[in-house]
Amino acid sequence: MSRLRRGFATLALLTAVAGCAVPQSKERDDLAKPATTLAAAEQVLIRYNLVREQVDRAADPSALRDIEGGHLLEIDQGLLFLRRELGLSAAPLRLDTSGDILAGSFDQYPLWFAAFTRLVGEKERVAAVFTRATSTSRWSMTEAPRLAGSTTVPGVATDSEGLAVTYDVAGAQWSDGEPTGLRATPQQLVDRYARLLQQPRSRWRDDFVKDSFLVQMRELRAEQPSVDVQFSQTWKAEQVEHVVKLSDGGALVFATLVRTDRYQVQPGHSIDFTGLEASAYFSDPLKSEATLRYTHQVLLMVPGRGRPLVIGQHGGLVDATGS
Amino acid sequence: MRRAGGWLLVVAGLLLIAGGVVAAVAFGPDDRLTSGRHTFTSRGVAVATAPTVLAYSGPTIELTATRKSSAPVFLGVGHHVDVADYLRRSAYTQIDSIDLPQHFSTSVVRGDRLPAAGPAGLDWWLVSDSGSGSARVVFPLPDDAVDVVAIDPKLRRGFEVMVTAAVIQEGAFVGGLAMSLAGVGLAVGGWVLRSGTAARNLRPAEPAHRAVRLEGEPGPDGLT
Repeated sequence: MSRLRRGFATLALLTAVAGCAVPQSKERDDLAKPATTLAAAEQVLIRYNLVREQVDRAADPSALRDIEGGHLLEIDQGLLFLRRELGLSAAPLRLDTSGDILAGSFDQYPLWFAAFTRLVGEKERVAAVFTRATSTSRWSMTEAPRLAGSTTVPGVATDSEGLAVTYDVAGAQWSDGEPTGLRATPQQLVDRYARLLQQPRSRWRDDFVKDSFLVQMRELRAEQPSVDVQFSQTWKAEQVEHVVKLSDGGALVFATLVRTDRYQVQPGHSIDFTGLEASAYFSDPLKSEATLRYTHQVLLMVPGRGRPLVIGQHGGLVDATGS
Repeated sequence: MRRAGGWLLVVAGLLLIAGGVVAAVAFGPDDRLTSGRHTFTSRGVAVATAPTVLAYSGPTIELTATRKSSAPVFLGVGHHVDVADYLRRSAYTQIDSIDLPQHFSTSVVRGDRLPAAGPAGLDWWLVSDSGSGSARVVFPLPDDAVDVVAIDPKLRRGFEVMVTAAVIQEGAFVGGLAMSLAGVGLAVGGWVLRSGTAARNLRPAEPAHRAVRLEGEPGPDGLT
């Protein structure tokens, strides 16, 4: 028996004799902690609303860095830029702070949690991922696909402490130690979805539901000019970091897809983006080429049985160059 | 039977007296079971416990950190995940184990950076205090893996701190005394019971058989 154990045994006897709680030995190998508590998550959402209101009222994207990060910051800065350049107005975005919080357990930073909540004054809901990169940084919203108000989000798997089971990217397994049981890793599924967006006749076309995002993106592509302009489009999936296990064994995958539209103008011709959002970047018609970069954040639902589909998305034009 | 019961009560009473006295003396009138003062030094910015050191939950602990010349000190208790990230890549002294009541083993954790921010503005401390010369925290040992950190709030390297630890149990002193009194009552009661049994044992013993058979008189079965 070690001296520490003997000491605590003595302390246990003394405290028991004195009528108080006896020291209990902890699970030494469990060093993880919940990403957040409900109360702390609510404070994060309240702070987001406060700063976001200032940002939206002033149409000033500079303060967005205090509350957003990653590709979402890029998207929302782009949207604010368009709003300012094109003279568009929009009501400040405001989160209902009483939404559902899905928080997992982590043994190291970064920490993250997801808030499924209503957008105040709108029909849409948002599945917002908040991440905390380090112990000295603040919580930032990094992903925020929007869901139709009627979209049903399936039940989420929880561990013995009621915390959400999340995907351990490094270990390629669920946080409860179980293998994913999915037909492919979340990253592979998102890569295949991106391939399907780029190539409608991809070998993966039967592996996914023809969801509204796929349909919308194909319609947009079909509307692109084909006369005197050579148009091409590429899709690329960014690294998947946030995945929640569903109670049916499936997964909710937060994914970011980068879309690049390229216009190669034939000599003697020009392309004009008047009336389109890209006009915020180009004041004159372009005679050579243009490259528009869009970022889309999607929520890919992978059922335990059945084909995956995108149930939510948020994105926009984040950059444009041309001559 | 009564004699054995009496002795049992006497022994139980004596045990209660001993336990109560030990508890009362150990915790004292301020209800604190206090360790001595231990000095820790670090070439880095902090002294922190390893997660295995506070491997028990339940009791309420009081920690006091003091520095010489009223130098500023921050004392905090945080979840190991937060503390480990906070001190990541920083040099500090780690308390690896405690051999109660007096011996601590430490190791040097190397690092080339300072924490990215001062400790005072962080929101994840479970409990914390800072001050000039001393800081004090009181907290129940939680189920989670927690670390104790004593750190220079201005993150200056070269850190020396004296730490005193105490286990607090409200009412322990009075409880100990009450237990001793109960033990006295039990022991006296047991002694009286034992003594009463002994007094009865001093009376002349009654004959084992009231019917005395005369020698030579035939018994009921006709035998002599």
